[in-house]
Amino acid sequence: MSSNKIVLTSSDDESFEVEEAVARKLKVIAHMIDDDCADKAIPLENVTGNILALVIEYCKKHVLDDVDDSDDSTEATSENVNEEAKNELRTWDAEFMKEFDMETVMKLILAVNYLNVQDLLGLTCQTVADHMKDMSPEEVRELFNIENDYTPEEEDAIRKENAWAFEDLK
Amino acid sequence: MVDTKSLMQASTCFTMFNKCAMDPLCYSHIDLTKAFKYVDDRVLHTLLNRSGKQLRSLKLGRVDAPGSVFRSSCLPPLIHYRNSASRSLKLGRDAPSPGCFFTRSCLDPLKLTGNLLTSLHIYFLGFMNMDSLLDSLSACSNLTDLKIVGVNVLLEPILELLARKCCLIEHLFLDNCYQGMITYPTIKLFVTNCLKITSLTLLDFRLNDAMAQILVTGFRILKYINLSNTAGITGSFLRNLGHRSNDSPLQTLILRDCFSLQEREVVEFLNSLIGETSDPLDTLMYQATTV
Repeated sequence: MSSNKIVLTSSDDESFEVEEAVARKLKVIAHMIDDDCADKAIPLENVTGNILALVIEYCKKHVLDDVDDSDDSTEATSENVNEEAKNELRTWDAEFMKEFDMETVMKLILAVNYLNVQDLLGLTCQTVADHMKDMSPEEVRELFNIENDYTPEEEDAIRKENAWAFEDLK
Repeated sequence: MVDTKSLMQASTCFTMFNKCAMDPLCYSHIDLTKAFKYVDDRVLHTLLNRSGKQLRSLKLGRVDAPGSVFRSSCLPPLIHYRNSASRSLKLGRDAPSPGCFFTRSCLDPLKLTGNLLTSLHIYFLGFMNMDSLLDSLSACSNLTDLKIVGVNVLLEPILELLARKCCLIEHLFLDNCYQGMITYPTIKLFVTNCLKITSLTLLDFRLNDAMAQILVTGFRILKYINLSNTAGITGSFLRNLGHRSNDSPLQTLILRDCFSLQEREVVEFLNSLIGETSDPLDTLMYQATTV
């Protein structure tokens, strides 16, 4: 007998009590609920409290994403309402992501990948991708703390092969 | 997902990114609009080959070409034309786009890679070889989204080809900068065969009211139609539309710079909408320019 409230505990011992429907947005937790393993607080050793708070905030906003609202009087009305709701959520998503620096977004990606929240994973990864657009390779290495393992000859060969993409960076 | 140019830049960061960047999935959505100054047929061919069976969308050309600023239906004022010759000169329509290095048959590789393509947008490629373009489009039988802006080709053969080979088309945007004619049989074939059209933009076509009526009333699930810069319509086609609005899913009707549009027709149309109990038409935009 699972309760309607689920308690999630972060790696730094911060506890979050959430509705079951919200907790189910985290597929890892949904599986535990289905297996009747969620009657006690669920420890999440890989996620800190501040990051978990953000994930929960997103999941609360998107808790109805998977619900089919078939009570609308007409199909056309239902479609329009759904479209408006989607647009509102997209706006909310964009504002939500604006708040974070890249370091926080990276931490979110790791947490969300672990917790298996697919739509937030897509949103966070796209945020990083958008940030990378039109960056030079040097800037990308700096952003991700990447060590360049090309030899100078290898890098030259790749730049030459795709010369058209580097014209604006010269 | 980043545009293709950014993908190439990222692939130079370190070897793992380069390995990732060679996956055909990275070329599912090829967007070369940011690199319009430097890409040519060879580059396009290389990228299409890398996509293998994964190609789903392709964007080519210069989205913000100088001429395009005058033709956006979202910009409030439009320039006033004195005659078509000066209009052509002002828009730079017949001059090749600066920096465009594609040949007239640059889309030929789609004959091999285009069968799962769903979205194709081409902007300001100048002149293209008509047969080559039609042959390439013929291979794209799963196309649902086609946009052609600033390309000097006759568009009637394209409509006809869509009706014969690309019946799944849902979103169509054609800017008729070549000023070609369009005929009744083609319009009727298009309306009859392309049943999934929900969004239709036909700019600068020489349509009359009867043709406009066929288009506006012929598609059962049409939601958006933009017939701006259509000189031949007076608005009489709106009469029947006004009485059908309850049955029609149409939400947006745009008629900007339709120089022959009669205000009387528009007023009567709006009155017929107001008289209905429901008002599915969310947006009506018209702007008749008087000299």
